[in-house]
Amino acid sequence: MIIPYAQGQSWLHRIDPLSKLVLILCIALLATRFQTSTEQACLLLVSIVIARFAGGITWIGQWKALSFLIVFVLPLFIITLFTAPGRTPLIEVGVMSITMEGMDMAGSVSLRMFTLFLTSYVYIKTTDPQDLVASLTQVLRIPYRFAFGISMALTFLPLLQEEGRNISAAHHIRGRRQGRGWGERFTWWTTFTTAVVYNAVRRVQQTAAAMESKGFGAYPDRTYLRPIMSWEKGRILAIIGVLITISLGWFI
Amino acid sequence: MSPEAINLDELTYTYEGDSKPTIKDMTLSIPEGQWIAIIGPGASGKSTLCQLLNGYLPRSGGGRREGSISIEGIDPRNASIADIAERVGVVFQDADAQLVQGNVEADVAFGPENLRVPPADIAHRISASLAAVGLTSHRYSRVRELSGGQRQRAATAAVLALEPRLFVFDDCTASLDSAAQVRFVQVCGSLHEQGRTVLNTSGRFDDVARAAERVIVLQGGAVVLDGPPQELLRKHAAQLVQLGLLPTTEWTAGTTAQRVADAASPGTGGTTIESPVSGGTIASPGEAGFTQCVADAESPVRNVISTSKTALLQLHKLSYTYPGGHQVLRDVSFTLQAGDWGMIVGENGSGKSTLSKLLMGLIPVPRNSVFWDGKDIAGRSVANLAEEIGYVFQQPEHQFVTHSVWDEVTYGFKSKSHKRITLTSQEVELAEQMLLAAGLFERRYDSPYMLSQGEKRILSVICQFVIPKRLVILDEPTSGIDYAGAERILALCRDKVQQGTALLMITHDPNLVARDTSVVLQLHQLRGITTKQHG
Repeated sequence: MIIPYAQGQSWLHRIDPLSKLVLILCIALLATRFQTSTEQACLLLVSIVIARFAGGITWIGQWKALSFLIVFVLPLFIITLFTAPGRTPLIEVGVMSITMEGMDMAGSVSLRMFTLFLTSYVYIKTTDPQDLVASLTQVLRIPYRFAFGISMALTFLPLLQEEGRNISAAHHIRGRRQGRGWGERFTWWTTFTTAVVYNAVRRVQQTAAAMESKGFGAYPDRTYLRPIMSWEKGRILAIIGVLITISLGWFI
Repeated sequence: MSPEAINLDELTYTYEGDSKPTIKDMTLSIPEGQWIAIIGPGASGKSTLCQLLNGYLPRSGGGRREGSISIEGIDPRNASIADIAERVGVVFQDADAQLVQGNVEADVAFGPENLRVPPADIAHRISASLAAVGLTSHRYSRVRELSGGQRQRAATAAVLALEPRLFVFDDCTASLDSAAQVRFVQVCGSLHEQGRTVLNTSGRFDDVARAAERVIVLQGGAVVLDGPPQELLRKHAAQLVQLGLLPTTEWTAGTTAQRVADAASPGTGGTTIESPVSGGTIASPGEAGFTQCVADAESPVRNVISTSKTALLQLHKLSYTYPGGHQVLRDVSFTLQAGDWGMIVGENGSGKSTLSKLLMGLIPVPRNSVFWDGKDIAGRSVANLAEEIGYVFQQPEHQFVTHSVWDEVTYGFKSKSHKRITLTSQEVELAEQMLLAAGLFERRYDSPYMLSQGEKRILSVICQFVIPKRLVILDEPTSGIDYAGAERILALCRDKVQQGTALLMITHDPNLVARDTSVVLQLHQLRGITTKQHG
């Protein structure tokens, strides 16, 4: 699953990238600070509400994003459930036992994963890579070659996804179907992956050449057509976010 | 005499892993402010030369360069990025690889920003560049939303905005419709008037070459002709035809002398040429009378297939709107019978490729709009449709899935049987025949990516033709290749049609294909106009 930036006019779209980054870090800090399932559930709920009403991401959109994570979170939940130390037995299955503490811990780590993923998803969906580059280079004074690396990665991943779709379509059009047995599936995926990697490398080389031919890296600095986003509103929000994080971290 | 913009002295270049050089002992002097067209058949070294001029070869692309290159006194191999970018702007063949920012405005701004141009000036440059290529209305569009031709124009605008002293356009009219091609010639003329050096490459003696001051003809990496276009057309027409740079039909009927006067002027190469059969002229898509002219053309293939009445493919009021609200097709109806050779024409962005992708199931098809053998294809998978329909991509690279030409051609045989790795003797023979017909037999062990653009195109076609299908959709198969290569592809197409396969070809070369087609669909402003040529 590759997440592209989605143009929009939501409230979060209008907040500058660095202030949003501070807010995300605040949520990430709280997610690592909170230890119980209830706290994590509250944090996830807040994140979902923000994503819906401040980021304009639909309930279905959020569900699609989070459901992608289930395959990774479920094993983590099960392992934690059986391995976390606890004293209050809930269910006993042979030598294995599930405790209240284990259940709480498993819920906590799983919900934490969902929160961290969702906030990152919202950030990418609502942040134009060009605004991010402009902020990193002009506000934080990060060298533009490095900042463009991040921007290019964000721009490039959807292109690679498209390339992957093209290659998959090419295989189908040319009569290749994914077989049923493990061996046939392995052969199909090997051929497919090799073609995708080969094309990706070729595309990266071509893009690097095209960037260089347009003077990328010619000088230590460059100009920007796009002015950096106003960060007055975002700054106030970031300060409020930091204060809330400190308060919650202090009291919980 | 003007100072030199480009000086090549005994330039030889050999790609890594190749034993033969692609450029051989080339010596050239191009004065500042000259407008040159470098033309040559596929694999004559045009693109390699362009990449040598901006230093990509051998600095990043490797290989061995001998002899010298001087661009306004500097050697691009050793020059700094700034020195090169301020002197040379290159538009390469593959537009996708040059648009790195994801949206049109940002991509056009990218070069000037790197060269520290003040933002106010960049804004002016963007407006002027996009206006020059006719893309102003797409200033804020995402690159992914543009058609192939529009992407090519965006890539051109991005280099125009750099305002270098030397412009190198590597076959960048290949995907353009006729109006955009005319506009491109005007852009080159305007740059020339400003005193900039302009270098165009092409696989054909096209309108750009006819309008240039000087034409240099390459063959096998060496200069074989050099002179003003009118002179070359007058004195060397036969040789140009032999090289595939002029269409055979344009020069074989009537006397050469009669035709030089007309052909030497721009507008005769791409927009209207003499009809090979009827003697009339074929207007370009979008021009009044286009469909009627096409309808009037006689077709040798048509006589073979005219008895067939089976509706193989039927479009019934097909409308399509991309997610996001951009409508490209409205109520398009069209019928293709078994053995028909259909042609789809239309300006850039008119929905030709979208339509072909819909037919192949690469984009979800609306219900009750497209019928195959009388049955709705909505919901059918690509793999399922591919059992009967072949598809040749607009970008040949999108189709390649292996690492050698031989493996590409035989891929379809192996796909049919997952477990069988060895080919039957008949399959080997068929693959060899196809490669021989395509002129690629000698290159069968090379990587498909190392072929010239024309060779890639013909390979993409034979890969589909090697397996029997009832219909093959070809998305601009003759675009950007010399006439000899185009004729090779058309000959293969004729064979297929003779065997009863239906073809549906998207093209910006209606003049080349018109005499063979039996039905034409012209897309214009969302709508489709169908012209049948047989009854």
